[in-house]
Amino acid sequence: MLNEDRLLAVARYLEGDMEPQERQDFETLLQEDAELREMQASYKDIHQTLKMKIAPTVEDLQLQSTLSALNEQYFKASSAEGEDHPLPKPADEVKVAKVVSMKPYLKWATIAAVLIIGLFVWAPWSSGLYNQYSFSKQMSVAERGADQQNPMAKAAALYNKGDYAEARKILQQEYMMSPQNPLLAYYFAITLIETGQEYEARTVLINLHNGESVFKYDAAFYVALSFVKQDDKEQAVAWLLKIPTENVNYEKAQSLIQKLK
Amino acid sequence: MAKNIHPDQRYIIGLINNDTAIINDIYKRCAGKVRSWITFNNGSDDDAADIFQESLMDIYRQAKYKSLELTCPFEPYILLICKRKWLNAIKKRSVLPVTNSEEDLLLIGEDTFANADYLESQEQQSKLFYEAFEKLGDRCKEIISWSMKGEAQEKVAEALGVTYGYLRKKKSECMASLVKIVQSTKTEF
Repeated sequence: MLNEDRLLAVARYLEGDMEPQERQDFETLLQEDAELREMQASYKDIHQTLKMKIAPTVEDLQLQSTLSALNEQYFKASSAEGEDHPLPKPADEVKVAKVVSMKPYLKWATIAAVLIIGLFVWAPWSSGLYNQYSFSKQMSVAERGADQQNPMAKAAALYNKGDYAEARKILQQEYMMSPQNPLLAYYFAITLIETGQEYEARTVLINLHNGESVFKYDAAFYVALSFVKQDDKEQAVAWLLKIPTENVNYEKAQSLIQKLK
Repeated sequence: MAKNIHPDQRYIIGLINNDTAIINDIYKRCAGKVRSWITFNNGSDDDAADIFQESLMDIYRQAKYKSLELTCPFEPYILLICKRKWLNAIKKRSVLPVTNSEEDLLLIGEDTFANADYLESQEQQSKLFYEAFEKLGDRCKEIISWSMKGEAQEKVAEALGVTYGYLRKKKSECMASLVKIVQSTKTEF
């Protein structure tokens, strides 16, 4: 086989693009061919490395914001003299985190911009079971007088109107600042689902589910719903089964499981 | 590779889990030292903050995506990484460093150098891979980034207006050409 053909075979094997028989043949070949194994290892390495560069996860962004907050605390105590000579960097390094508070948000905006294109294509799929079973259609925040400027109140108003895309923008900013707030995380995740970002939503929800807040099982239910939206019944059922009998959503979960079967 | 993982690996795990208490501990122990070293070497507080944050993010990414394991104490490790980063940055700014040997900050063991070297080489590699990625055609870049973001392939296909089968085939082809570009840049050295 030529180098190119071998590379393509490795790619097809690792990307799951081989028929069972071809797969088996390739595995036999791998065992005999050390060079091919090396090629496979370097393929995986390139894939992983690139993934960490071009697809930051919610966790990556959360850490970024933890660090930014601590930076304020530990480095910005006094002087501001450094501001007139910012550090010059090659373009690819800039992505790491130059401007402390702005960068994570910009990254988000980029991800959001790319994903939002998908929204228009996918939204129609999401009707049906998802809409029938989603229960948090109203977002309620603690009353704070007539303070309309409060971002949470604004986000809630948009959310309750069904304008999830706009609500998401606000919640995202708030969430970056206080990722530990369960109420915020919960509604932020729902706006992500509503705008076709199920994968991101799940990282937020699973975190929430692993915690001990009142949203623990609501989060599990919405993870399931995000899979429903993506037509992944098996995963959806697996998540619905996590909801215990004493939970208010138990009946609903069981009935959804029945429909998914 | 048989490795003795240093107990300070817990800092790395703290970073992965975004554990505020542990990360705060890192800042408490190291931020002041990085700050005074960088400001002593013609940097500002902001420079120090950026360098420190970048270094922590580098370590985090290597740990999370490529299971970095620390075989040396954390503190000299992060200090060495920050120092090197800063020396590189001022080289580009053509400012002369006040100190230019690496031993002046504190006594650093060989294993610390080895760990820092490893991180640096990983970063260089990741730059190289990214450059190779940039050389791909737009369609390939699009397909690769979509699929790396973990989206369901059916959806990616739908969004790009192609069939599922085509997408899968194209993705393998794109990744193969990416690896080929990396291979060819490596042999140029």
